[in-house]
Amino acid sequence: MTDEVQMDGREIADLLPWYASGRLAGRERHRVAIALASDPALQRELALILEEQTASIEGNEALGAPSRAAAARFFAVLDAERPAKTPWFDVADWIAIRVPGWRPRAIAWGTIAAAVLVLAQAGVIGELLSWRPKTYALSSVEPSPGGRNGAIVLVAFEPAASVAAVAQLLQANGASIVAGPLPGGLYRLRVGDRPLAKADVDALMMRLKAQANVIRFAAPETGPD
Amino acid sequence: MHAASDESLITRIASGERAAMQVLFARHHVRVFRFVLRMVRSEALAEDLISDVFMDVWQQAGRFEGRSSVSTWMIGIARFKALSALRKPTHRSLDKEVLDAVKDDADNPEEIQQKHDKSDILRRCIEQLSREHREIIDLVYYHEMSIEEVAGIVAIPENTVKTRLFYARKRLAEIAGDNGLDRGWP
Repeated sequence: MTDEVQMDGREIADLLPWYASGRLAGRERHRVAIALASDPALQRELALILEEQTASIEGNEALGAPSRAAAARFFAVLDAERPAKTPWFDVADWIAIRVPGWRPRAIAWGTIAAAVLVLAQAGVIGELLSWRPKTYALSSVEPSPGGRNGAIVLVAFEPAASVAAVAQLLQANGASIVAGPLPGGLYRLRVGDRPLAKADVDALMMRLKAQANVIRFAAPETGPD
Repeated sequence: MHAASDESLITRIASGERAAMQVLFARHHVRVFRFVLRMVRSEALAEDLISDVFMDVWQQAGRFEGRSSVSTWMIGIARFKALSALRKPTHRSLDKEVLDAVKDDADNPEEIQQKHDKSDILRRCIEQLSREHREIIDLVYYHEMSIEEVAGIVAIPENTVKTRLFYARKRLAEIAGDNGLDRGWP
């Protein structure tokens, strides 16, 4: 006998509904599975539970769905409720709510941790954490770091783009955020580590613009770095 | 690209992103509607209530702490809204009226026997359960909530969740027996 606490038959049977719906944790699930293997009464009860489960699901499915008008009414109320925002500010919020300390928002810590992890994997966390709220509104411009070149481009992100999608785009293009948000919600990206020929810049622009679900605007920066 | 998690949608909703609200609404409004409809038994009222539920989500997203899943959180809000609506005099008698109507329909054993459909009979029997018993049956079987999640939504201890489901199933077996379906349990 192991050190596991022996569960009596009724205790096991009481867990069967959650065993059937796959909502038991590993250890309990294991115990129920072992008991089921050798107990015909439990097997019969599980069969009854599966019948009940089917009936419950069918009963709920038969209820149908709310009308489209219900959704339209809700979003009409929501639109009246939500504060008017310009798309540019949405971009700033989009970034800010994902990094702790930038905005005093109550954000689930797990989500923050996940977002930060994704950003770190993309190699942009260093640049992002160097921002400070005091310079946030002033479109901080990174001093040109010695020895780093690369193409500099200006982009605006789609407000609906996920952090993961942005991180993936940055990583795929060897890009990192070096400044932003600039006036107009723009961000300055450094792409690669060496100057690009015009043809390469044009190809880069095409690649970025093709990611319409992530990038709303992209253009090479023409002024001095 | 994989779909955004409910938690990430809530974070985006907290920043006022309407598109995230649309995704969350599309993903969950039918289940929330069905949960509420089973309680209030009025489609018009249920539609009004889901609007209230999602408005609460919109307004409270910034306070969501991630202690439960988003779907559990929303079902909890929906339950509160539905119970509040049922306490209003206009709707207090509705549940009983509809229950009576359903029961009358299900009390015809000949009609039920003719169907020879065990699942259909069970569906009708579930309709005859008390609201509390029907609720726990649906939370576990249809909404696939864990013991802990049901305890959080219904605000009862986890052991009570198990015993309440046991008695709901026992009552279901009795009603099934009354309707000619002997399940041989308990």
